[in-house]
Amino acid sequence: MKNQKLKILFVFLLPFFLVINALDCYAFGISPPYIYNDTLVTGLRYEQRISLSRQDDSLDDRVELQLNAPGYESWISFDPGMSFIFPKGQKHMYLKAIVQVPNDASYGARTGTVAISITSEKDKITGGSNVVLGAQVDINLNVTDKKIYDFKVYSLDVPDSYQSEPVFVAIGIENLGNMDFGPSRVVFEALNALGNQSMASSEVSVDIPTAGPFERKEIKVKIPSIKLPEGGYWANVVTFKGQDKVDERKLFFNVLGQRPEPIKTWDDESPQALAQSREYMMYKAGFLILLSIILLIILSALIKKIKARKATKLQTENKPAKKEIPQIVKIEKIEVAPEIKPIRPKVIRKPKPVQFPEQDNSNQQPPETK
Amino acid sequence: MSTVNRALFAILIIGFVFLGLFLGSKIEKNFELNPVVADNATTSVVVAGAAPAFTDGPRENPTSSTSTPTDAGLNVTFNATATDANGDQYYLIVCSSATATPNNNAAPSCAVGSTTWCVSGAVASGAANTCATTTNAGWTEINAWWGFACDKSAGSQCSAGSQGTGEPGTPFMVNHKPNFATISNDGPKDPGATITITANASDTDTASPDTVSLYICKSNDWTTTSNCGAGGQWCATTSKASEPSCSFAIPDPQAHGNVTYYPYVKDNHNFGATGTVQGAAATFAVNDVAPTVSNVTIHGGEDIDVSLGGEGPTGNVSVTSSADVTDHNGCADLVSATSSFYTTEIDAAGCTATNANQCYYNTACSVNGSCQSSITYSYVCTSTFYYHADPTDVGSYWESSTWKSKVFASDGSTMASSTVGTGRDLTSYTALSVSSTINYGSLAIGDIANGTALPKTASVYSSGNTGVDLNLSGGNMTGTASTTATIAVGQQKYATSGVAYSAATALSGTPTGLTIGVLKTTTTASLSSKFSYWGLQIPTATFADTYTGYVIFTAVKSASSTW
Repeated sequence: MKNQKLKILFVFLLPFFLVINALDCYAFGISPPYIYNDTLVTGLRYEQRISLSRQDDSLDDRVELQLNAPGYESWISFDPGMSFIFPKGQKHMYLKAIVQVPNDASYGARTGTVAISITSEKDKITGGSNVVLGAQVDINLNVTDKKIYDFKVYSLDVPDSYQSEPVFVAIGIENLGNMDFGPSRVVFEALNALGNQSMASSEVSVDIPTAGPFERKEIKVKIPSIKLPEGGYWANVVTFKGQDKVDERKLFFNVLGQRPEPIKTWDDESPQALAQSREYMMYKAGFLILLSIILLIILSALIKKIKARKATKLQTENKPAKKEIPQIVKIEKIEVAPEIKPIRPKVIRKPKPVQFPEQDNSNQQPPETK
Repeated sequence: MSTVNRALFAILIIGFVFLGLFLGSKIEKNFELNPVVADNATTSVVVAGAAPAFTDGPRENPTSSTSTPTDAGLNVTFNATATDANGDQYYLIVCSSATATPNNNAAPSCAVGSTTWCVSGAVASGAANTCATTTNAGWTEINAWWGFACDKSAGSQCSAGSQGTGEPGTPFMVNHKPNFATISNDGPKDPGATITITANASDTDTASPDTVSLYICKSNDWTTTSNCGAGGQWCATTSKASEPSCSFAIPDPQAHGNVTYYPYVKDNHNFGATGTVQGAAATFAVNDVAPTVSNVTIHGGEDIDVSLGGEGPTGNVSVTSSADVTDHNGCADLVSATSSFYTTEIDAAGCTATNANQCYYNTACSVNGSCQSSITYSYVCTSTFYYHADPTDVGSYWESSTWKSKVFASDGSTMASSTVGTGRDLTSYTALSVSSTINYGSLAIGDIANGTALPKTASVYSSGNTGVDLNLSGGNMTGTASTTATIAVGQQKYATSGVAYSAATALSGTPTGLTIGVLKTTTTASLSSKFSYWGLQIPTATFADTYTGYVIFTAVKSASSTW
């Protein structure tokens, strides 16, 4: 029978190994395999990076995302998108998941998944099933009306400062809550270079910057009352959340000599310095605008004057008869004081000769033109 | 000016002249008093054979007194001037008693039993005379004396003994060296600590009474007048009755071991002490203090993401810790620093050997930057974390743990350590590795019956740090020669074991979970894996062709309890 003889042939293009070495396989992974936040509040934007990695970077691979977020798909978007290329030569890239909780979102938990697959053209066979790899991102979100105020310190630094200038503390804080938040108090103690003698201490509890919800941020706290002479010091910095001590660290810093010249340092990027800079720029801009207005007024006045002169000249050229009478009168006036010299420059400005009526004026001075 | 006024003025002038003459005569008379006395003396010396008499002195020159005694070994010099009525030469003799014996035409001598401090040569009457005696440590502190002027004549006579007057007069004082027997200190002490050095020293002179001063010099450059020289001074104390001691803070930093110093004692007359200890090198000991470790950080305060290093046996990332290490024996005393990274699940005590899962042990650290204030180095320690390091983030098996680092520092004799305050999470990394194809080979209709065990396998590896389950989906297989020829996706079936085809799960276009349960990999070189079993049943009336399809293996982080 024809059907009995029918054989379906699958061509083996590659040897098949029962036990394969992992290095001969495709590999793909994600970290972390979740989008997780259980303290979202309405209106909040939350971002999370997901690292994508692959073993073989010899070709461009296409990455496809399939979002399964029933009822809240619109909250979630991805950068660089739902489908993109994992570029050749790159074994690792980031995918950013952005959760925008609507203002009218109801409270409660949401779960879902994002299936990420990566399709490679490499070693594709004809015959059999090609393996496409993927990884699943679990979504666990919870919208709550509970306001969470919490943070932790992930880094602390006391940058070198200049003599007679305030000391700054750079505190890396990770806001674990869903509200703007930061340290309530920072206690700074400067010790001598040996760390065994207190040189100065101060406490700052106002104007301490905060970090946005779930944000990691390095905030700069100015310790205004501590100005130390040149030298090396130890700083003991205690960070408080309310009345609770969150972090305490002791680290070395230097006070340099006098600031050599006004160079830009991170100090200059302090809010106060930036505000001053903005104010200065506004003054500068205001002055320039004022100067421009004055120049414009002068320029327009000059243009007006020039236009008026041109108009007068045209009138003189087109209607000479009208000028006859006053010119004659003036000539008569000059007759009274013949010793007055004519003003030559004005004559030069008007090179065209003025037409006079035909009469005998040989004994008269040339008429002054205006 | 009227005549009357002129007359009055003249009278006034004359009056002044007379007044001047009167006062002048009075002054002249007063000056003539002494010659009158001399006349009287001259009158007395007229007696033949009289002894010479002192006209000046005797006195010590320089004065040897309680406040300015003569250091033992130095001279006490006596000066005097005497005149002899007969014009004879005279001797100056200074005795320890009130009696001197004249010797005709020879130098006089002191009375038997008394000490002759000194005898001068003969000098002319009226000439200054001097004699000196060299003191020595054996003499008493206070030494009385009487001076005599004795003429050199056939009938020699001595004046009455004179002890001089005031400070240059008797007695002369001998200043003895302080005794300086031993030097000791209350060390060993730490750098920066106060150490006290005590001298077993005193002074036997009691007239003032004498006090002693102690100088601890850094070099052997002390003088009685300038004390410690350019080498510097550790400490000093002055005006102590005995046992002088002084204290100072040992420099910080100071290398451990013995520090040499040179002790000196002198009395309040700047007379240096006697004894072998004076100026001999001595030492105080400085402890070898343990270093301290502070400001430990892990990975710059960031969570650790091992996915950045890639999956599988070669996947690794660098994870850092840092710390400030201080040694008050100086930066040079620091020998090495190492760091361990561990999960709080096992804590530092449980991290004694690297297992790449929970513990990365004994990572070498290197100095980062220059020595601060001569005592502090910053160290940075870099460890290689492998792809299967235990995650500690939300949803992971070790969710309640964090990764911490502990930095150890050694100065060669003692070890110190400190741990980062706040740990960081290591994020879950779900990764899989699967063979690139599932090749069913050459199949005929009926080759795979319902009862046939699934014949093909595809290995699924966990190449991250979590356990892995799967979501599987796929599409229809399409022919090569005839693109319209297809084999439905559901003809492919799978299972976690080689079950009968009919008992396996049909592949579909919808991702479907398969709890394959690939364990978390725990050994770097050997990925954890499981087989997935596959079979394809060719439907009847399928066109003979080469068919190609696809299967999507989606890694799903398995329940942490199954890792």
